[in-house]
Amino acid sequence: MTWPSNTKPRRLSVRRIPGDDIAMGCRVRLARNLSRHVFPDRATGPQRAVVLKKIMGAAQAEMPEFTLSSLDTFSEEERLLVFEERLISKELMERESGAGIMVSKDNAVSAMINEEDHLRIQGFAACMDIETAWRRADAFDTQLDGRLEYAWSPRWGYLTACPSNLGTGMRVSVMFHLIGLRMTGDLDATIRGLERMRLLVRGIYGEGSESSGNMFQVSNMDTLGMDENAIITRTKRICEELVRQERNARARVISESPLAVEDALTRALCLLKNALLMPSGEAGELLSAIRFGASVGLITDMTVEEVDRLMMRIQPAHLQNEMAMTLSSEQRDEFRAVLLTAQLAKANLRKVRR
Amino acid sequence: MKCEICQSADAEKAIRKEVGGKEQELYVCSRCAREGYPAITTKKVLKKKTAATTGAEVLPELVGMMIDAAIEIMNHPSPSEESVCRHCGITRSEYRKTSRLGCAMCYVAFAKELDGVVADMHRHTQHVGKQPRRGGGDDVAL
Repeated sequence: MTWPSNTKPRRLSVRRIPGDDIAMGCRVRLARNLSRHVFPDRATGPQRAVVLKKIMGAAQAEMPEFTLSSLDTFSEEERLLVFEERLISKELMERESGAGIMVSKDNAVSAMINEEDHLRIQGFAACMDIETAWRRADAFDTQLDGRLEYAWSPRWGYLTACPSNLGTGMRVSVMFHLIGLRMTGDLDATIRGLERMRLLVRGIYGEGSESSGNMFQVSNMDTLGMDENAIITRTKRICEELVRQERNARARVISESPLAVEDALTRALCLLKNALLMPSGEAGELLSAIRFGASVGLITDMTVEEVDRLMMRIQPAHLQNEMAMTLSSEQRDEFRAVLLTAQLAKANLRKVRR
Repeated sequence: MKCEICQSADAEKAIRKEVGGKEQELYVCSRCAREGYPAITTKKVLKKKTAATTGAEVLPELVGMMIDAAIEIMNHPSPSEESVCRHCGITRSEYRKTSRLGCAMCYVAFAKELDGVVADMHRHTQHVGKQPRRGGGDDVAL
């Protein structure tokens, strides 16, 4: 079987399903492996190729509307681009051979092939609509299930490369912007509390990634012993409480420290509007403040959604894609600064009432 | 190179250790570096002993060596004794190093160890929830 050699994800920029000011979006991931096939880390290149071919074949037959791509045909820049879109993980991006992705037309469902497990299905949805994300991932899984034989046992459920994913193989993640809790100094205690309730807190690119711009991915720790609906209900209940805490923290910081808030927003706006070189880490932190300002009405003429799109556009591979050329680190910082200056020209600061 | 203490795992770091009253550099695996076996002293000393060594000097060292050997057997099973998945060939120590299994049959090969690991990890040992329409063909033993 051959798959189209030049098929790449349709829209390689700004694919995010819009979220709100605190819960930025959610994802349900299902880990699956094929019966009688060595897991990807242990497999040889040809063994991974066999798995890729099997899964691609099943997907082509069941879901012709999906874009199927072998990452072997991608350049390094293209791999980085889909990683920045959060369609694939760092691990898949770095897989030397046999990696593949599938993406639905509306970008609401994707799947990674030969990542840590043979198949990792991801359903996306807005804000905290975990049920929709689950329905999307579940439907995809059920369709493939008719053509593939999954590794499974009655006792331990879906068998995964790492026992931490056993059972349902399901990881529910919600992405949060927690700048209010950071500003009130409650963030560390909140994260510890989440971990005590058996939720994992990671950076925006998932496992092993650092937080950037006060953005965090919160997901369930346990995958075995609770069914999918129970995991969703439990995770959602705790995430709703987290939203309440973050909203209270934002209100508190504005009422108790208006000068500090105004100062932070003024500094962010000044730097973003005037800097000549802007590294991505610094830009992420500054845009985090602008996002907060836009969400509480202190930054005018700029919406949260616009800030989110900018956050995506200023990543290294996205900048290069936009410029259609390879850029040096300094060139990227320069172009990022130019882009931010232009995009934030219209944004203004409304004084905090003191 | 192999660890100079357990002789089984790959050496990953150099440590300085007093051996027979003299400081030496040893190349050891991360586990031996962490656990610092008393075996270092006795084994190295014994190696350095000459034929002129008296029985009175050797006896305590022989006892020490036997204890060390017992500790080593408990902590570092030799490759021949180590559990291996017959399907994918991964060894227990390889799995422990990465926390990733090689294939679905590893759940059978390392079942005893995984029982505890899974219970600690998830606080449950029985799956509930979605089941595949088919599947489990190679996993019936679980």
